[in-house]
Order: sequence, then C-alpha cells, then structure tokens
Amino acid sequence: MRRCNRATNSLETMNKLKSPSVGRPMIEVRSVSKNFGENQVLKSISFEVKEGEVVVLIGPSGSGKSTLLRCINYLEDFQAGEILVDGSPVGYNPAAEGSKRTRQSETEIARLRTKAGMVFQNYNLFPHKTAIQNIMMGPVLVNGESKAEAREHAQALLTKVGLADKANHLPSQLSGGQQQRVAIARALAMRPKVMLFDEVTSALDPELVDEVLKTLRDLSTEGMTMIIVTHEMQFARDVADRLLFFYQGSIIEDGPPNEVFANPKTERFQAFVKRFQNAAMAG
Amino acid sequence: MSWLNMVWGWLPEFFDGFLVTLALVGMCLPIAVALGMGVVLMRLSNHAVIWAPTYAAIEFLRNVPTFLLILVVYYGAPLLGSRLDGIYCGAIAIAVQHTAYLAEVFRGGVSAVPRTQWDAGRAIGLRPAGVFFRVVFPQAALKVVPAIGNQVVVLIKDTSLVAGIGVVDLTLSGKLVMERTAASYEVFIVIAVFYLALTTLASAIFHRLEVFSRKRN
Amino acid sequence: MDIAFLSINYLLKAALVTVEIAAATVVLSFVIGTALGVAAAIGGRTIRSILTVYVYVVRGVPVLVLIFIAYFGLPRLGVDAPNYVAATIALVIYFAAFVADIVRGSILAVPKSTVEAGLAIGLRWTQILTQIQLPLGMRLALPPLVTTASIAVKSTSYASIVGVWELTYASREVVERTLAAFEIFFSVMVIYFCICYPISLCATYLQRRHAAV
Repeated sequence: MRRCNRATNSLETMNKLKSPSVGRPMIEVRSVSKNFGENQVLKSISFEVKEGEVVVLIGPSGSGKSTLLRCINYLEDFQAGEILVDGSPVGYNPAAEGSKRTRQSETEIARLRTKAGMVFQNYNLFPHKTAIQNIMMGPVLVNGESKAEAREHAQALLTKVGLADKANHLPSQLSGGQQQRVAIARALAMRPKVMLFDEVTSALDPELVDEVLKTLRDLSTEGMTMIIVTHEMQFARDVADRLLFFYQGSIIEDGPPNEVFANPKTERFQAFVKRFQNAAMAG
Repeated sequence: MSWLNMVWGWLPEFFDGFLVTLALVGMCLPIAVALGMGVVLMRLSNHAVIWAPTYAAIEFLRNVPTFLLILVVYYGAPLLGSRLDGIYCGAIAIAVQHTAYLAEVFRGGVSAVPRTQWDAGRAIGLRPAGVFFRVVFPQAALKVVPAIGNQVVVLIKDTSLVAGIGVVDLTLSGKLVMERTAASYEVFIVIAVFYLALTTLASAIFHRLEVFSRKRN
Repeated sequence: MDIAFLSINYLLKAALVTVEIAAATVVLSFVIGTALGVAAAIGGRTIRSILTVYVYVVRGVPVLVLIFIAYFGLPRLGVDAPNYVAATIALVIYFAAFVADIVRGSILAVPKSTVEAGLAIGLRWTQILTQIQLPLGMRLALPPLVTTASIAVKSTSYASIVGVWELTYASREVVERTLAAFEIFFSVMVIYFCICYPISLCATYLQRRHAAV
C-alpha cells in the first residue's frame, strides 16, 4: 500500500481509514437550490461529508451532480441555501435574522477555494507552463511559498502520481492520463482539506483511465476527504464510503454502496442499477 | 447652423466624386471576384508549371502597396502607347491586386472544406473536376462569405487612392472643395461619413449573405 | 535596367525613411492598441463601447482620408508639424484600432476552462489576468498582429500623397525624371516585397505554432 509523504498529520489520518462515523463534517450542503432561468437544476439539496469520507455522486447526465460540485468551490452561483467547507461558508456570508445574505468578496472566495482542490474533466492544465510549473503556480502565487519550497513539494507530488520524470514536459507532450495526473498533483499542491473530482476519467481513452483511478484510490486510502462525480460504476462501488444518486436535481438515494445496490429505495435507481448490471454483463 | 448650410453646399461637388468611387467599385469588384476564382484554379493546379508562377504572382501582389500598383499602370500605360484615363489606371491596378487577395481567400476556403467531402464526391462517381466544381468549391464559397465581405470593404477604401493620381473621386473632391471654399479639414470629416455610410451598407449586405450561407454550412 | 542601378542609392535612402515611418507607426500603434485592447477586455461596458465605435469608424474610413484630416487639421489646431508627423499620427490612430480589436478578441478567446482552473487553485482575478489571460491571449494575438504590421508597412506609401518623401514618393520622382517606369517601379516593388514578405512568413509560421492553445 502506498504511503504518502505529507508533512501534516499522516499518522492521524491513517487511523481514520474507512470509519465514516469518526470525523467532523468537512462539507455541509444545506438546502442548496439553483436554477438556470426557468430550469431548476438543484432542488434544495442537503448532505454532509465527514472528514476522511469518500462520497461518490452518480446519476444520469443533467441531474445536477457536476453543478453541485462546482457550487462547492463557487465556480457556480446558487440562489438559495448554504454551503460550508471546513466550517466556513462559501460564496455568501450568513445573514442576520431577516436580512439578505451578502456575497463574499473575490478575495474571500479565492481564499476558500484553496481549501477545496478541484480536478476537471478536461484537465485544464495551463498550456504555456511545464508540468512542474503548473503545480507550483498555486503555492507560489497564492500561498506565498518560495519557488524552491514549491519546486520541492511539486516534485514530490509528481513522484506521488507516478510522473517524476515528466517534470519539465509541457502538457502538449503528455498523454491524457498523464495530464490528468498532473492536474491532480496541481490541486494537491494547495494542501486542500477536500478534493473535488468532476468526471475526471470521462475524457480519457479507456486504457488511460486505470492509471487515474489508481491515483484516486491511493488518495482515498490516505484519508483524503473526496467528493467524486463519475460514470465509472465499478470504481464507485469499490471506493465510495457513501453513494449519492442524483436525479433531476434531487438526491434520491444515499448510503453505503453495498446497501444502496442491494436495497434500492426508488424505482429510478433500480432502473439505473439494472442498466449498469446489463452493461457490466455485456461488457 | 451655418455650417449645415455649408455642408449642404458641398454636397453637389461630392456627388460627382461619389459617382466616380461607385464606378470604381462597380468595375473592380466583379472583375476581381471572377478573376479571383479563375486564378485560384490555377493556384490549386497539380502542375508545378501552373501553380508555381501563380503562387509567386499572388504573393508578390499581396505584399506591395496598392498605390504603387496604381502608379505602375499610370506611368506605364503611356509607355505602352495607350492613353488611359486615370480612372481606368486605378481600376486596373485595384482589380489586379484584389484578384490576388481574393484568390488567397478562396484558397483558404477550399482548404477548409473537409477531406471527407472529396471522398464522398468520388464515392458517388464524380471525377476530380466534377467533385471540385459541384461539391468542394460551392462549400468553399459559402465558407468565405465573411472574408469576402471584409475584402469588399478594403476595396471600397482602396478606391480612395486614385486621388493620388488626380482622379476626382470622393476623396479628391473633398480636397478640391477645401481649396475652393477655404474650408478646412472638416470637409474630410464629412467625406469620412460618406465612406462610413458606404462601407456600412456593404457590411450590412454581406451580413445578410452570411446568414444565408451559414444555414447551408 | 541601368537606370535602376543608378538610382538605387537614392531609392534605398528613401526606403530607409519608409522603414523609419513604418517602425514608428508599428511601435506606437501596438503600444496604444494593446493598452486599449486589454482595457476593453477587462473593463466595463463604457470602455468596450468606446472601442467598438472606434474600430467601426476606423474600419470604414480610408487611411488616406485620415491622413488628409491630420495633414490639414493639425495646422488649424495650431500644431506646426512636418508632413511626416501628420501622416504618422494618422497611421497610428488607424492601426491602433485594429491592434486593440485583435488584442481584445484574443484575451477573450482564452478558453474559459483554463481560466476556471486558475480560479480553482485560488488565484484572484488580477493573477488570472497576468498569469493566464495575458500570456495565452498574446500568443493567440501574434499572427494577426504580425499581419497588421505588414499592412502598416504598405500603408506608409500613402503618405507620399501628402508629399512625404519616402520610397513611393522618391520612385515617382525618378520615374518622372527618367520615364523608365517599369524598371524603377519594379525595383521598388521588389524592395517593398523584401520588407513585407518575410513579415507575412512570420505570421504564417506563428499561426501554425500557436493555432491551438
């Protein structure tokens, strides 16, 4: 089993492996609603993610799972509700009784984004910087680390994701899977409390998917709090502490994978499960 | 509001110049488009004997100032024995240069048509010439409508250069009015407005054409 | 062609003037245009509208008319400037608009997803601008900007119409004196070509390198 070289609390977090009942809430989503014009994309969503938990969001396209993920680090605005990351509200400061919520300043929002690392479906690496420069940018520009510190840390992260020798390669010189692993390292460089993964394998050729999923698995065993949006059902079942099934803007199933698959509470999910099992048997 | 009367007095003088400008556009544009289509065929030929000199000529013409070409025709024509009016010298020079510009535009359009269209054309039994004229080029023409619109505006503005050889177009008529009536640079602001109206009209027409072409893309 | 050889000295001196005017035009219009373009990309509706109007006017009016306005207008405004200054001012005003439009478009063409990646690691908007939008935007802008520079060089020949002594004016002088129109003008065209063609090759090369960022 891989061990990480994180400077902080390694032993403590190792001990929190796979015990979701331990750990304070890292993410709190309370009655969050969002609409695009007439379209109600998120309908009063509420859930909690505890420290060290791995929560996987699944559901059909357009059900709101990616949108919710992007609300957590305020890349999307939401009309109602609250989101707290590590105890701090995101996007809006809580209003006093009876008054409207106030939007946070760009600086506040930027600071909060450092607590949640995000990895995108299309990697979104900075094309004009090498792999190691991509990873160093956040620590140097936002956390004020010195270039030397940042470089050391970045090199360690590259080693962690298995790309130690690609430090000076440009994104255009890397395969999709490699770019995605650099993107993961870039997010980890900010030492986030939680990692958000938005369909990170959907844009990859099948043979490159495994290397990325392996990186995610390693992170989960190290005790990182993770929220993953994915279509990879088998992976979801293996890695998730909890599965949240999204359908048309609401969460209609919530529980550990084995329970949820064995006893689906709703018909929709039953249908979804059946389709997955058919696909698994055919494939 | 005496300046309004002043401008009103200028208008007849401008009108003749405006007609000259329109005449130049009317002569040069169709010729440049037609010849441009012909030249691009030569440019796309597979025989080096044909495309090489064509490529050289196009690149040469695209990288020299328009006014210089006008001067070549203006001073050169008498040497060849012809007594061309200034306006025709300008027309020849502008038409030739814009043929080169448009040939490049068309070439860009042809290369933007996906290779698969060639395959489709050959698959239904057309010969290469047929594929080109019936499948590829029509699509290329539709793709370049906006670029041609831009070139038309450039052509309209280039006609002003005949003022440099004494042809009384819209621009030169402004200079004459200015000298005759002791008015000053304001005259040219009015001239600028005229050109703006002309180019806006041309752009509007091409906008309509673009909408039409976008549907068929 | 002997006439061409005899005059070559004269013409090359004039070519130098052309290069000077072109250089001044390109440098000034690029500096002003880039500043305007960046401002329009990040600024509010006011500055964006100003740029839109400016570009519209410049696009629709011949350079020559602008040169005339500057040439006849500057004395009226009390500025006693030589003709090449007036011409250069007109050219700078003309090309700054194109540069600004190109720069603005290129900055906005940087993919939203790349910007979002910057936001996700906690960069603030000023950092996004300087670290992501400007470097990537200017790379996209380079090919059309180089093409604009080539057009600017050719436009210097219009200054001859208001009497500025540069390559086109000098060539006219020589032709009127010697009547060897074809030889002289051909040589001069070669000179212009030798200046402009390498520039356009640069643009094509840059276009291929930075086509997809």
